[in-house]
Parts: sequence; structure tokens; C-alpha cells
Amino acid sequence: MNELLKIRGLTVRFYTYEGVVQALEDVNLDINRKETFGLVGETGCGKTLTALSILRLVFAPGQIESGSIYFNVDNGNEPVDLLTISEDQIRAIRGSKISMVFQEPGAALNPVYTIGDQISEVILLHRRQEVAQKALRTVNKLLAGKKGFISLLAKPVWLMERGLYQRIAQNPRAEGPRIVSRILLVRGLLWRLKGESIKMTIDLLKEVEIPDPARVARQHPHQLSGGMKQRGVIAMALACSPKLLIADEPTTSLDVTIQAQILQLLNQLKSEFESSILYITHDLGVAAEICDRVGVMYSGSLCEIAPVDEIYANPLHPYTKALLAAVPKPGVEPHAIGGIVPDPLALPSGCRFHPRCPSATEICREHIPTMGELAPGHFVACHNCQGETGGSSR
Amino acid sequence: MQLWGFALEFRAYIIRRLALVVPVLFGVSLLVFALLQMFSPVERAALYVTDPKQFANITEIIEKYGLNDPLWVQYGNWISQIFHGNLGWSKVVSLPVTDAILNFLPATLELAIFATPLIILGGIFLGSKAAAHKDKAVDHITRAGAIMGWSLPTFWLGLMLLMIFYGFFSGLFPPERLSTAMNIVVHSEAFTQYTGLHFLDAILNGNWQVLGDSLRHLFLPVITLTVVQLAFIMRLMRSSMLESLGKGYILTARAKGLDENTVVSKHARRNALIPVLTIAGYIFALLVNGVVITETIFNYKGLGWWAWQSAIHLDIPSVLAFALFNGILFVLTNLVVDLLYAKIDPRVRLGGQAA
Ligand SMILES: Nc1ncnc2c1ncn2[C@@H]1O[C@H](COP(=O)(O)OP(=O)(O)O)[C@@H](O)[C@H]1O
Ligand code: SF4
Ligand SMILES: [Mg+2]
Repeated sequence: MNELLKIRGLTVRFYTYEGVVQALEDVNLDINRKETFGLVGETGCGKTLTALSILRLVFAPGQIESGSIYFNVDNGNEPVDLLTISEDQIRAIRGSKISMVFQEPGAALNPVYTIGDQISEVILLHRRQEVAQKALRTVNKLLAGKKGFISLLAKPVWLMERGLYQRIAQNPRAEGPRIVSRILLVRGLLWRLKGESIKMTIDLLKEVEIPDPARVARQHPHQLSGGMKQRGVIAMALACSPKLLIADEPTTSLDVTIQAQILQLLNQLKSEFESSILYITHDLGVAAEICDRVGVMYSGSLCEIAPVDEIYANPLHPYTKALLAAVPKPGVEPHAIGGIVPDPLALPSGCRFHPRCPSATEICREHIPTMGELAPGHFVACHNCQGETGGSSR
Repeated sequence: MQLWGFALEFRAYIIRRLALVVPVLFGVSLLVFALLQMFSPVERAALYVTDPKQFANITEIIEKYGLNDPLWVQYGNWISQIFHGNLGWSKVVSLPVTDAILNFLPATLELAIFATPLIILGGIFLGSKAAAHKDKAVDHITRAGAIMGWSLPTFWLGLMLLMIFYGFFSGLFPPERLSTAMNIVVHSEAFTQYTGLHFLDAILNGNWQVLGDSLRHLFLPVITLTVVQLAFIMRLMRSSMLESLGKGYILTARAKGLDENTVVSKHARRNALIPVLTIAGYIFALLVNGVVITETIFNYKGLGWWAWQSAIHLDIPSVLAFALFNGILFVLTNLVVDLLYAKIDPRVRLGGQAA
């Protein structure tokens, strides 16, 4: 099995005062191992919501109505359904196996904590054992070191520290150290954990090419530029080498030159960390640069999924065609898509694109098209699209 | 290294902030002095009259204190009198004003010392609980409680409490500061008044009877103050917390896999505290100022009681001294609030939007 993530029939609604918003309707998509999957669509079509559903971070008035999200951490094991596992289990996955980079790095970072604090928090949470082992090594070195007056005084403390770190290294959720960590002053005995995790943080910041990482780790978000903040957020997301990295329009709020740098960085990190990436963007041009496969989303459902070259060379869905025509190219006037995004409170019947679709026919107004594989690996949801296999998908 | 850098940055801020206190205090003194100038020299001479007989030689007093001199000379004289601790004579209590303040301040401080932590910590705790459980039972109950607390008139609540705990439970929690017997003990040779705060002096003297008695007397006024003011902080904290909980960094914190408790108490609360701090400082200053209604109802003789007595007896020196005390108090409270701001919010400490 090559799929890392399989979303099936995901439906999300918002129960607002104005009415029920059908934000996601029967979303289906697969993300393979080590691939970059681009999710493309206009603002408001449900890209962020799809990402948040994967992490099960949809809150009232929103509700995940139905569907499954199968996540297959390592080959061979049974995939788990992220939507049905316990709260503890999903929390263990968030930030470690699946992590997310948000659109606004300025908003995503807590203004009152340093970059180092915020990144080391993830490390201390999910890689506690590893951190404890490092601390243990340091303490053991101290205990084996030269015998002097100071080491004589410090020895009892070191021995206590060693006991605690050993306990954590065996079981990161061990009761003893957890109680210690809650008691004022006594919890000082665990200070090396913080120190070690900060060291690991600095290594991560180096990885995302932040200059002078030791200093940046001590800085607060407001002291950094947007690009640097986003690098920090990426470092935070990569802290536990996630299987799936969700990048939600990570460059939208940045300058063009910085955008290119961040894209390049993501491309490079992806091979290094062997992660899959779900790359969300409203810009098909950006998707072309970094994605292996692309899914086009319209008004809460996917309308076309294909390998990236295929979708540019041979777009089948009328909406994809319109999107491509809207990408600015040198020498060609971009065509804006006619009409407006449908009101989520009053969605059109049948195919949601029909009021704007140049090829709409009678059937489009009545029936929702289902997705069919019109060419190998090329899926389209449209009544009137002809692929190599020919014919409507229904 | 890290700590040192932090201290350095913080020190620069502290120095900048402290330097600001001097001109502000100067402004406060000018303001009070301007108030003083609204009275005629004869009226102002009354400041220094301790005995009605002295009115016979009022012109001498005017001469002596230079009350007809140019304004700036008078200001200089006035300030130097203040620095020598001479704020005039309080006829209400027949004491020099300085002594009157020193007499009444401990009583009020005693109230503030107990009420402030209850109000501020309680308000912050309840407010963030309510926000974290928005629209659940906890939220509805605390909110209903807050509205009731906030809308109860202090005098009514105070009287009701007195009626129940002094009247009905015959003397369980009495008014005033001490019972007659304990008052004699406190003013006896064997009891040293280190601070004037009875409960603290009792501990220092190891006199548990006085301690118990003092706490018993403090109970009702502290409760009255707490019920009314806590509601305010709580509501503020709730809305501030709700705002903070909707921020992007909270989503980040959740996406990290942190548990709800850490998300709320570590990531949301610290940001939510920033607006609450100002009001907390303000409430503390108000309490130290003396709370006239509460002190009057419980016949608890503190600063508020004294200021009120002075006002109704047109005791000008006392009222002016009180105004001055007030100004200084607010300036100092603001200073502490600003330093706490800097501690909580690095954007204040490090200044500006550096990029
Ligand atoms: N809090 C909310 N209340 C009501 N509707 C919401 C809320 N959040 C999101 N939605 C709905 O979900 C849709 C998808 O939003 P989103 O996933 O953020 O879009 P995108 O990321 O593609 O721009 C929006 O068009 C909106 O109708
Ligand atoms: S189903 Fe009909 S309306 Fe929808 S995209 Fe295809 S042709 Fe257009
Ligand atoms: Mg979005």
C-alpha cells in the first residue's frame, strides 16, 4: 500500500444562526508516501477546513458529519481512522506524525513566548524520551568526571537527576517525573530537559536555514521578519519528522522573493525528512512548482485530481480549465473566471459549478456528478467531460 | 547568557519607565497646588492653624508662611513643607495631617491586603474557567454570579451581611477593627505595634487572640469588597480570554498536540492577562485609597472614612493631602502595572516593532 492518507466521504457542516453551511461535501482524496499533493481552489472553497479535519481541529459551530480519514503511519500496520480514535491518540499524532504550517506566521506564533520556547515545547511533548536520554548522557558524564569539591557537593543532585531522566527515558509518561514537574522548585531537577530540547531546537532552526539560530531561539516573534517567522513555524512543524506536513498557503502572506525561498526550502526539506506534503494554495502556478499531484477543489468538493503535468497539459474539468486560464502567463491576458463563488448558505443544486460553467447541460442542474477515473490516475467529477476512456462518469 | 541579555533589555525599560515618574509626580504636585490657590490667603493660613485662638494673629501666620509671596516662591515653600512632613493640621481628628494618614493607612492597607488577591486571583481564575467552558454550566453560573455581584449596591450588601452575621448570628463577624478588649491589648505596653496592621502585629507579637479578633473583624468588609469588585475582573478576564482563545496561536498550540489544559493556561491566559492588568492595578489603587462606603458601613476607621469626614467638615488641608496621596498612589501603581506589563509582554519590554 502506497497511500499514507485516505480521505473518504468527508462532510463538514457549520451550524450558524443564518443556517447550515455545507462547507465540505463528500471529499475524497489520497495522499501517497513521500509525495507532495497540491490542494488548489479559490478562497473559501474549503481547503483549510480539509486540513483542519485531518487533525480533527474543527470546532463549534463546525461539525464533522461523516466520512473517514485513514492514516497509515507505517506500512504493514492497519491504518487508523483519525476521526474515530480517542482524544489522547489524536493528540499524540498532532504535531508529531501530522503537523501543520499556517497561512499567517505572524498569527500562528504566540507573541509572549520566544521562538525557542515554542519549538522546544513540541520536542518536549513528543520526543521526551530522546531528550531524557540526552540529559541522562550529560549527567552520567558529570558523574564519571573528575572528583573535586564541587562534584562532591553536586553528586546527590546529579544522582536524583539521573533517576528522573532514567525513568523518563524508559517511559515518557512515567508518574514520578510528572509529579516532580508539577512541584515548584523541585521541578528544577528537570532543567536539563529544557536545555537539551533548546539545543535540538537550534539544530532545527539551522535546518530551515535561519541565520544565527542560537540568537533567534531567544527572540520573540515580533523581532523577526515574516519570512523568518515562517521558517520558525516550519521548523516547529518538522520538529518530530512528521509523516505528513500540511502547508496551508505558507507563502501567501510573504513577499514574492521570500515566497520562492520558502518553496525551495520546503522542496529540499521534503526529501530530507521523507515526509509527504499536503500543499494548499489558491495559485496553480505555485502548485506546478512543487507538487507531484494536484487536486482541484470547488465549493467544498474535489472536482479534478491528476498528476501535475497531466493537469496542465490536459485539464478536463471546466473549472480547472477556467482556473488555468486565470493564471497570469507572460504574453497572455489572464481570463478571470466569470460569475462568483456560490453562497455557502444557498448552494446551487446538482453540480455546484453549473451557474458558472460554460458546458453546463440539463443534467448538471439536477445531479451531483461523481468522480470517475477518465484516464489512468486522472479523476474528474463532471457529467460532460470526455477522457481517454470516454463517456460520463455516471 | 540568556538571562543576562534578558535582564539588560529589561533594565533599559525599567530605567526609562522610572525616569518618567519624576515629571508625572511634579505634574501631580502642581495640580494640587493649583487647587490650593483657589482659596484666599486667609483660608490657606487655616492650614497651619491648630487652635481657634490662633486666628487672632492670622496675618502673622500669613506672613510666616509667605502666603502673599509670588506663586513660584509659594510653591517652593509648600513643597519644602511637604518634604519636611508638614501637610498641615487635620481638625477632624485633631492631629497633624501626616500623622492622620499614618494612622489611617494601616487600617485600609489591611483591607486591601486581603481583598486584592481575592479579587484579582479569584477574578482571573473564574474568568478563565468561564471562558474555557463557554456556554457550559460553569460559564452560566459564574456569569450570573458576576452580574449579581456587580449590580448589588455596596451599602446594601454590606448592611445585609452585617444583619446576618452580626445581627442574626449574634456577633459572629462584628464591625469596626477590633473588639474593645483586644483594642486595649493592642494599645498596651506588652504589645508592640510594628506596622499598625493589627493582624501582622499580632503575628509578630505571637498574640493569637488579637490575630483571631482582627481577622474576624476584617471578614465582612473584605467579603463585601470582593463580591463587588471580583465580578468586574471576572467579566473582563472572560472576554479577554475568549478573544485570546480565538487567536491563531491557539490553533497552533492545539495542532502541536498539547492538551486542553496547557493550551488554556499556558498559551491563552498569559495573553489574556494583558488587558486585565490595568484594571487590576486600578482596583488595587482604589482599595488602598480607602473605600468610603464599605469603611463607613462597617465603622471601620481607615483612609476612606477619614477623607469622607474631612470632606463633610470642610477640612481643607486634609482633603488636599488626600488628593496628593491619591495622585502619588496612582502614579506608583501605574509604575508597577507597567513593569508587570513588560514582564508579561515582550513587545512592551523590547519596544517597538523591530523586524
Ligand atoms: N466559523 C465558521 N462559520 C461558518 N462557516 C465557516 C466557518 N469556518 C469556515 N466556514 C465555511 O467553510 C468554508 C471553507 O473555509 P476554508 O476552509 O477556510 O476555505 P479556504 O481555506 O479554501 O479559503 C468557508 O467558505 C465557510 O463557508
Ligand atoms: S458537471 Fe456540468 S456544470 Fe458541472 S462542471 Fe461538468 S459540465 Fe459543468
Ligand atoms: Mg484557507
